[in-house]
Order: sequence, then C-alpha cells, then structure tokens
Amino acid sequence: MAAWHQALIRFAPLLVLVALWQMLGGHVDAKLLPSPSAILSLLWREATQGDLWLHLSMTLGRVGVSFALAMLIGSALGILMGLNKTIDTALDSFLIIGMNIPALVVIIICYIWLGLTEAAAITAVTINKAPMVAVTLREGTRALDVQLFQVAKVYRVSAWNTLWRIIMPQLLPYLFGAVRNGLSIIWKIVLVVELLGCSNGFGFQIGSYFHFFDLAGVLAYTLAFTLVVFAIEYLLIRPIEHRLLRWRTNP
Amino acid sequence: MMLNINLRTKRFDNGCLAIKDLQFSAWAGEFIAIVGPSGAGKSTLLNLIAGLDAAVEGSIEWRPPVASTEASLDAPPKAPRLGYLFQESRLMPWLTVRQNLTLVCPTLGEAALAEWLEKVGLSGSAHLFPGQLSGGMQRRVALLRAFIVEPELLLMDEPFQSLDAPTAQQLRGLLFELWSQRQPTVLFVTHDLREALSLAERILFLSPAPARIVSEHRVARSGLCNTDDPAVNADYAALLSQYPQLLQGLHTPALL
Repeated sequence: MAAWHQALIRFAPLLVLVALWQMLGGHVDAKLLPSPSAILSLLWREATQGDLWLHLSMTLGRVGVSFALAMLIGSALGILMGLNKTIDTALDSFLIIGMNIPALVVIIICYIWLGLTEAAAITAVTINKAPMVAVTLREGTRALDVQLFQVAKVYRVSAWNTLWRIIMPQLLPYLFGAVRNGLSIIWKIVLVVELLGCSNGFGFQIGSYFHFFDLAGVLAYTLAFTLVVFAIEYLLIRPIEHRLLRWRTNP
Repeated sequence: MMLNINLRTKRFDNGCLAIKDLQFSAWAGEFIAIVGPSGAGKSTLLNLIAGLDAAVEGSIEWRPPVASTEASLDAPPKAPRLGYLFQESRLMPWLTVRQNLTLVCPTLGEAALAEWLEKVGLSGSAHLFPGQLSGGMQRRVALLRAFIVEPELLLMDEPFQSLDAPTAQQLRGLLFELWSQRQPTVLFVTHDLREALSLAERILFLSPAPARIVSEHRVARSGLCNTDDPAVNADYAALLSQYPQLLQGLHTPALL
C-alpha cells in the first residue's frame, strides 16, 4: 500500500471528527464546546506570546526523568524476579501493592514527606510506574528460550554477549510494551502531580484554566499535549522499534 | 582413547530411568553413529556429554589427543571444545548469518568468513537473517557454526531429520567433507540406520529406555555413500538378518 494511502486511512477519521465539531460549533454555547478554530488560535497565542514552551519543557523534563528512572528500576527488578524464584516470592506482594495503590495516594504521601519539591514530584511518578514495568519484564524474562541458552553454553559465549545478543533481543518486545504503556501512564500522572503541587507545567496550566471554567484553555493545552505524544510515537518510538525488530518484519 | 563414557544411572525429570550402565569410548577423529529407537534417551545422552545436564551418576572423561607426557597424568581432563547440532537449527533469529557466526567465534575475520561461507555454499548470505533462509540453508549455517569453532568433539542430534531427502543428502555430503578435512570426533545420533551406515565408521546400538549399548557394528567401507547405495543396502540386509530383534526395536515405540 502506498504511504499516502496509509496516511489517508490513518488521519481521515480524525479530520472528519474535527470538521463535524467545527460545524457543530455555531449551534452550542462556546463556553461548553469551544470550536476547533478557537482552540487552535488560543494555542497559537499561547505558543507565540504566552508561556506554552516553558510549561511544555517543564512537563517534558519531569516525564523524561521519571520515565527513565521507572524503566531502569522496573526493568532491573523485573529481570531479577524473572530469573530468581526466591527474589520473586519475596518481592511479589510489593509488586501487587505497587500496581494497585491509587496514584493519588502515592502523590500525596510524597508531597507530605518531601515537601512540594521536584524530587517529590519525580519520586511519586516513578513509584507509580516502576511496578508496571517490573511486571512486564518479569513476564518477558520467564519466557526466555532455554534452548538458546544451551547454544550459548555449548559455544562458550561470554556473559556480556549472552546478555546483549541473546537475552536483550528476546526482551525487546516486552521493553517496547513497557515504554508505550509507561509513557501514556506517566503523562497522566505527571499532570496530576503538577496540578497538586507545582507552579508550572501543563498540569498547573490546566488547573489554572479550570479555576475560571475556561474549557478552551484546557482543550488548547490538551491539544498541545496530544501533538507532542504523536511526535514522540512517530519520530522516536516507531523508528527505533522498526530498526531493532527488523528481523521480525523481513520476509 | 580420548572420550570415555561410563554412565551408571540417569533419570528423566519424571523419575523414569533414561540410562542404565551405558559405556563406550571414542578415538580421536572417529565418526560414531548412535542408533536407537525414539524415546531411548539419545538426546539426554548428548546433553550429558555436552555438559548441559550434570545430574547423572557416572563419569564422562575427556583426554586431549596430544599426549603431553607427565602433565596429562595429573591434570584433570579439561572439557573439549564443542560443536553441537541440535534437532532444530537454533540460530538467533535477530542476528544475521555473520552475527550468528561471530557470536560463537568473535575473532572471525571478514576473509575467513567469506571462505567458510563459500565452502558451505552460502556465499553472499552473510547479511541475511535466518528467517530469510530456507530450512536447508539454516542447517548449513548451523553446521558452519559448529565447525567454525574448530571443535574437538562434535555432537549431532538427528540434525537432518526434518529436511526433505535430497537436501538431507546434500547436507550429509557437506558434513562428511568438513569432517574429513577437520577430523573432529563425531557422535551422530539418529534413529535412521541407513543414515548411520552411510556416514559412520562405527555404529553403536542403543536399547529402548533405559538406554544401554546392546551391540556395536564396524562399517567396512570408508567414504560417504548415499542412503540407497548398494553397499548401504547390503550392510542393512546383513544387519537385519544378523540381529532381527535389534532392528525391530528401532521401529517400535520405546517401552518405558
């Protein structure tokens, strides 16, 4: 299928939705449903004259740091638990608690203990996300192919090469699963964290607009947020994934 | 004598006896086929020899072929450099042919790689992934992987079983050629007596589980034959009339 054809199928439904919304705009109260053009022009004003870029960079920074921490801690924990039955049994209850405790509770506890600081914000997000990464990677580690380890042993492949050329490629699909899941959840949690205890960031901005019941402002920031998510998915995650999983897609 | 196997008992994971009092020795450079019915514990035996499974009563001794006078008497026998062809090719699907080979042989240079690939008829395939190769070509890569480490002991577990007859015959030819040049000791496990007769110098017959060696046959010819060669047919007929029950065991399911 041609690339433009795929792009059409992918984006046409979105465009139709926006067009319908725009047409509906004239018939309802703009306070309840601002039209797409109004949202766009507000977004443009925020980007050119307002503080959109400041808030975006603050939010992205928090997302980036807590995402990296959660992936690192979660992966290490998950791989260890997948490999070692004793560690798995000892830590399993913590994973269950970590997976199910409401994000809001963790955020409030972190703010009370660490104050309204960046450290508290990032800790809260990391604690919320790491257990999910651990569960995914534990699953992946349990599914590792014993037969390929036998090959490594027979041919005396070094521990380093066993890790990078035999184990990691098998964990990659699980890692990408965790990355996607991770980003989507971390965005949401970061916004709550910012709403509750930061003086900048998208969450803070959306909170401010909420105080004035300004739906256009809320939606303008939501739109900016959506655009960034698309950019990360298409410019970062997919190309990397395509490159690393090339051996699967080739005929 | 370089490989001495003396296994008293080995149990499967389910507790059934897999091996009972199995003994044999192999000379340096010898090509031995081990023939037995399926379920006789042939793969179990190879995994024990490869050191992939250590839970066994008995001993597996390896003496390096070079008799380095007094040192060899005291020094504990070291493990041989191994090549192992499994029933599946077991290549890493995410590594190219080149990467699969450098994984087991990190010092392999570009020129040597090209020479090896040409030898096994895989020229120009270095950059391909295993998924882009046919089953027969994957086996060639696996065979190459086994020989590229310059093995002293080469273990083969029915490696050509899932291939069509002409492809399997080609690969037997390639195996025989590489073995003639490099002379590793080969233990070739199969349940196909004709395959054993066409390749090996000596054939060991395994009983159904618990496996032990019930008979031994020295193949008179030297050199490779087709599995339907007249000489193989003659050997086959002679063995069949000599040990009718033995060969019958190769066609009946194992009695556990």
